Amino acid sequence: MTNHNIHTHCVPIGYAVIWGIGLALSLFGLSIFDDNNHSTEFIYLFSAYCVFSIFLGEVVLSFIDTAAIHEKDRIKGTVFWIFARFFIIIISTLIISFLFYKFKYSFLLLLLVGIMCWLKWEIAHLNNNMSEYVIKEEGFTIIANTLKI
Amino acid sequence: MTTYSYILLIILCLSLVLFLRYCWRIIKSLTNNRIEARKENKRNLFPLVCAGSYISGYGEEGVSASIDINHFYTPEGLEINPKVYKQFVVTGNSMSLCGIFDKNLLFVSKEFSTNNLIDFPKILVIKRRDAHSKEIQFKVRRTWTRCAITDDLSIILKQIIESNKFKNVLSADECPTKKELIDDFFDIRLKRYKENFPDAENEKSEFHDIIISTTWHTDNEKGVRFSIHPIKDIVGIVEYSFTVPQNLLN
Repeated sequence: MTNHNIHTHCVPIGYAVIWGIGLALSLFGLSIFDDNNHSTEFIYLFSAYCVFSIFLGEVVLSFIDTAAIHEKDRIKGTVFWIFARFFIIIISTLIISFLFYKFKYSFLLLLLVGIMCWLKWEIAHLNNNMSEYVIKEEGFTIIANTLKI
Repeated sequence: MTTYSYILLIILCLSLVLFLRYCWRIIKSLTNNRIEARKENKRNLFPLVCAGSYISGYGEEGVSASIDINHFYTPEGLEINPKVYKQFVVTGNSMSLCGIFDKNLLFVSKEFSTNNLIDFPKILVIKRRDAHSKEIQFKVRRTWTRCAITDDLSIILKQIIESNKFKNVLSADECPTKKELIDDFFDIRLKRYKENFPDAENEKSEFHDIIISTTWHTDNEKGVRFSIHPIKDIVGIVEYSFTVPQNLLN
């Protein structure tokens, strides 16, 4: 499996699979919990997490794709600031979800959606500005010998 | 939850596991590929060209500095665009008198025409007529003149030997006397050429026009000798030779 194959074939297949899972969840997922034994908050969170999980799957694929495209480049250390923000977003999502489930404040659900959108922005921004985070490999300077003709 | 819902949930979980396994396989392969790609980034494969006699034990191609990433300069410090040249990797040290050494990277002009063969000597890359597949296909030679096989070659040889630039060759330890050079030319090289190309004396023959070059033989014959090649075998004129840093080749 070459990096070119990963970029041109494997990653698109991965996207299709993850979207397939996403569609299956959105079409049938809610019917799993339609037995009136679950709270509205649970159903809201389930919907939000379905979309969020699919997007996390996409994030994984986009990282793989970036690694395949920039196979020869070195990555700048500044990219770890973005990774740090990813973790903040994911941890915040878990905490706010818990708070929403526990205290049922509507604004927490809006905050949750906002934070999930923040992750979308981070990943889209990273993909479109990847050139700022890579160092192109510098070549050697080679000087010709003087030909003694 | 209905049975149907449970089945659906199991299918979804299974898909997720399969998806994660798929990603893991891609990542593993990607990691190996990246290590290889980073290693190969600064190197490329180029056709090999032998300086002097053919050296066995090599394939058709050799490794040298990548023309995509490295920067090449003339001795005067002007940057060269490698894309306008063909590249070859030298094997052997028989062209060291010309400043071309083993493992050097040669830049040969892509657009070669016989009209370019005006002033001599020139360093040329020539196709090896007797090369088998998976052997070195080219050789590099210092060429002293172009002429026809029917010209008075003794006069031409005399002019070459007495030229100022040939003094360098004559002064080398490996060079025999003028008489030995001339005798070798007529007794062996010319005879062999005419045997190999019997119609060479016919003006319309593609072997009629020749170049006379010198070879530093490292095989059984040892020492400098003249050699004859048909003009049609010329690949191009060597414009630059680069000694590539050793750490790029390992």
